[in-house]
Amino acid sequence: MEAISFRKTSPERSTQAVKEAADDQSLVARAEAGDQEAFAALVHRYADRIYTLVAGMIHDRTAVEDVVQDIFFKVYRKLSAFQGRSSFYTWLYRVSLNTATDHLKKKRRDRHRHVEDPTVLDRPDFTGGPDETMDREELRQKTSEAIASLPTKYRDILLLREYQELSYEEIADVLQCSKGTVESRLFRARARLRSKLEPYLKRG
Amino acid sequence: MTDPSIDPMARLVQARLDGEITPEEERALEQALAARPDLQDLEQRLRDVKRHLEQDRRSIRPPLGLAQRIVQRASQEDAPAAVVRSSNRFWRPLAAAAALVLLLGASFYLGRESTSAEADVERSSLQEREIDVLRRHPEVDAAALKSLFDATLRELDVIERRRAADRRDVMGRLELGIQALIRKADRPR
Repeated sequence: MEAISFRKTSPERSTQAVKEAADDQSLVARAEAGDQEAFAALVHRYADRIYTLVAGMIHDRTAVEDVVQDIFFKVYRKLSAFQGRSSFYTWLYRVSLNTATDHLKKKRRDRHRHVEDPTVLDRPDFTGGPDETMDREELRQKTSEAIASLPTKYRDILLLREYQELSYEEIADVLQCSKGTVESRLFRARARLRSKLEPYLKRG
Repeated sequence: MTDPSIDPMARLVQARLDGEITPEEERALEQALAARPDLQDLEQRLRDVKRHLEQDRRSIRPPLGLAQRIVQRASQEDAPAAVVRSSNRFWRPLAAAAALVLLLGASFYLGRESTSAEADVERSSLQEREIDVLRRHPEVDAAALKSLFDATLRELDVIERRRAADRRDVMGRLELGIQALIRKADRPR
């Protein structure tokens, strides 16, 4: 059995996270006072991370960029609503997950209007099994569709863990739940995802 | 809250893969794994999912210039809107009416966007408030507090939907009025 190691939350990473959080608070205060450079620094710090988070559940690249733009636009317009009671990144992740979820809901509503049989929705087409010729892009699509079809409570936790590498405690902070709930939902999320992606998983 | 229906050892299998296990827990897990093939199988299944998602994450490439485009859009928000002028007397009323239609259409669209944006931010701020209450008053019944916030969010959603429907009605009437004005302006005097 191939031994693979997964990153642990190291003390260095924790120190880095604390430093970033302190920097964020100062940047947010300056951006709120109209300092464009401070806002730009926040965007440069988080844009790629938020893109990866959103791309975990939306496959279309144009749509992902639109959603990410919307997220930062909302944040820019509503910086004053961030009350500094939690870290900036937890607030940013919440706005991001809510915005991406709204996008998925809207997309589903639009599809419902154009599809005669609505029962075919929300059911990724995994018939046919893995194809030898299936390229990486197709696999990406199957994966993001499978993640998007998970209930929100499972999807959010899975994305924060696997696409942002947050610790259980950080996820609990973002989603305002206990660490135990994070563990349980993550377990269920992986089980559900496994059954959806079964034909595409490589055993190793 | 930890789900009691999940085997504690299965929980540890996952915790180890996520790097969230203590040395004592790991020792207990090693003993359990040696005796239980079902746990070994679970470990393999979780590992497969985790590896698949890790590969998927690595294949995501944020586009170049993304941050610059976001900053640019935000800075444009502060820029004053351009005004289009026409010197032709004949076309001026029609152009004005058409511009009004476009302007109202755009404001309707932006109004809806901004309403939705505010709702999202409001939701996130409420979540922040809930965390704050729990931090400051850990003795509070967390489940009851969550129900309270959930109920508030549901009420806000209802208000939001009602407001959006009202806006659509008002803007629809306005559109009809504008069309009537345009038709009137088109009629020969």
